[in-house]
Amino acid sequence: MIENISYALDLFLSIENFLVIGIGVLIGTIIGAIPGMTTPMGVALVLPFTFSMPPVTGILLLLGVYKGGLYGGSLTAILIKTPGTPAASCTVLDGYPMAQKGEARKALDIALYSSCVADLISNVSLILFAGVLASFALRFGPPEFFTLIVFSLTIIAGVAGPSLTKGILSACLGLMLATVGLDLVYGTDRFIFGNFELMSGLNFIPVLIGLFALPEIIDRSTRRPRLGGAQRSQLGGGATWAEFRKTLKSVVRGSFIGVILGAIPGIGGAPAAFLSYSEARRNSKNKENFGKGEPEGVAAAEAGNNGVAGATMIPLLALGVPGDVITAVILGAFMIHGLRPGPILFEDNLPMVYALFMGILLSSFYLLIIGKLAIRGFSKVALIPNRILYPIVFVLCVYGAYAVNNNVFDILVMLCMGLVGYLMLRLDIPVAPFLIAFVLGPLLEDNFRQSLLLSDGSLSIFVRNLICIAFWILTALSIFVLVRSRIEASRTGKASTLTTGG
Amino acid sequence: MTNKKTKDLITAILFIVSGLAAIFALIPSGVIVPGSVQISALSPDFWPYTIAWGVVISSAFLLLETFMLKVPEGDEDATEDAEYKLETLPSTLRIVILIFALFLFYFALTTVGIVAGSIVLMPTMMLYFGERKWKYIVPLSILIPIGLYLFFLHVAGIPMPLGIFETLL
Repeated sequence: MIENISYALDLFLSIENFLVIGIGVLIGTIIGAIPGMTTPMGVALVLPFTFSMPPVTGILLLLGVYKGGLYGGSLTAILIKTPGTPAASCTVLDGYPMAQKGEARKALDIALYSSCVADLISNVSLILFAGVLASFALRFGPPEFFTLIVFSLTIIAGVAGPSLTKGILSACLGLMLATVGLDLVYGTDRFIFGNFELMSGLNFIPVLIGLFALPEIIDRSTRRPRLGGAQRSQLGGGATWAEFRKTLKSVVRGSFIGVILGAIPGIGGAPAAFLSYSEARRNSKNKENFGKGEPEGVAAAEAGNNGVAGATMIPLLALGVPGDVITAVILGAFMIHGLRPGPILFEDNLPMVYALFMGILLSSFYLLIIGKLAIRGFSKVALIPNRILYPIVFVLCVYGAYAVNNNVFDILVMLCMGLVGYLMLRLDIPVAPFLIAFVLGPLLEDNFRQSLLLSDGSLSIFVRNLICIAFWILTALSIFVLVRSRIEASRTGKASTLTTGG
Repeated sequence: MTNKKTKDLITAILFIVSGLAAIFALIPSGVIVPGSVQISALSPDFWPYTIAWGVVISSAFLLLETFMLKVPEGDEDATEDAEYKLETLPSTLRIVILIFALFLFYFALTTVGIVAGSIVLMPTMMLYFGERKWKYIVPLSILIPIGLYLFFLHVAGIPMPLGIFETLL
């Protein structure tokens, strides 16, 4: 053991390693903050530079980009309501209202501290629970995934705003839109209508940008220009330790939600952020303030989002199974260096695994330093008058939407979704349930159909073991609590405390 | 009838019509079902039909809610609505013009490219949003589209379409 740690220190303690983690976090933060530039794209762009590096250095660079990207997405989400990454879309819910109230710097600080704490917890969890969690996640087949996603969809009720029915309608719209493209089982057309651009379905990023950024721009075109004199004070002061401490419970809870969901391959940061947010609201004393600029909402979303970062490495390192697209790219980096993650890596290259753990732990501190610097730079964005900022944001959205697939059609998708988003805004239909359903929809349908294929059409497969039954019970409990809260709210004439605006 | 009730009523009717349109027109014409489907739940149209019925049922429920349930306190944003009421006609017109301009920009960029299109769109939007200082409008409108083009080209390796200006940059 001590011998392995000694070898690991030899591998890790080099100026190159210390430098590349910082560079990686910086690149990731910048990429994450640009709408349309996704974290997987950033990791993929940096990958060629790692070919000539030692394995530990190269992989640490990629991990730095990964962690920076997860945090970077929250910067523009808070400042201009344009999440840089899908996972940051939950941060918009309270981050942007905080910025509107003149608390942009506080929201950015809380997002950063929550991200760092969650990242650290996730990294420590990776080191401590890699084997245990990975073996649990490995028991998940299509029926378990289906029941898990059904449970995750109850989050919709939490972000539905005052009207649960409107939230469900919004979710149905998202689910319907997610069915566009080729059918995965039979390969037949669904809502393609002869347009080959629709064969692979609608890309998430243009839909995301269209729903969140464009309605805001369209809506603001009807308002009078913001007065210049009020702008500097609108950034507000940073978050104090006392303010952050109030959110700590939600941060820790969210971090563990991120760790658990991150360890399950294919779930990713967005559902973790939404689930963490939902749980924070359920347990908060300020439930009614969620969606209106509640710091705890920002903290919970960011904790859930960043809590997955270390955890997605659990199935990758312990079993060689990538947890998401980014870890799939990192798996590629391992293989380029002639290494195969999995139990054999722990046997043959344990010092290397330990060296990676050390680097991963260091990345949390880099995230804090670089995040602080990024806040100083990016928070100036909030000082730009809307009449200048919104045209810039729109052009950024156009470039971002195109860059995802090098496809002009994605710009049209973004514009159409902007129009849909604006109509939803005017009719008070929350967009968050739409987005959650759009992300989870394909997973839900695929796992449902795969399960039925396995069971020859028998629905009993959905209660085949304790994991499935546990998720059904959790779903039923969640619905019961929410419906009861709604009925009580309608009786008393007061808004339900278990909901927030989307 | 309150503003919220009117919105809910419009939403419910809009979604009921959309849901029924999906069930009776959109899904039958847009989803191809192969003849070999043996389990109905595995059919490509099973999921769209389920969702469409979900839309119709939820909308009907919203319609009932509109007339039966109390409006929760705090739903109406007095300030926001007052702002809309003040400028109802001009704001509606402004929105229509902006949306038209954005779609026009999309169709123009397929010919003139993203960079040239953005260089024209940015000053137009800034003027439309109320900016009058040319010292900001001109440099920003030129530098940002070109800067973004160079960033995506050299950093991300993504060449933006330049349309008829392909040979210039």
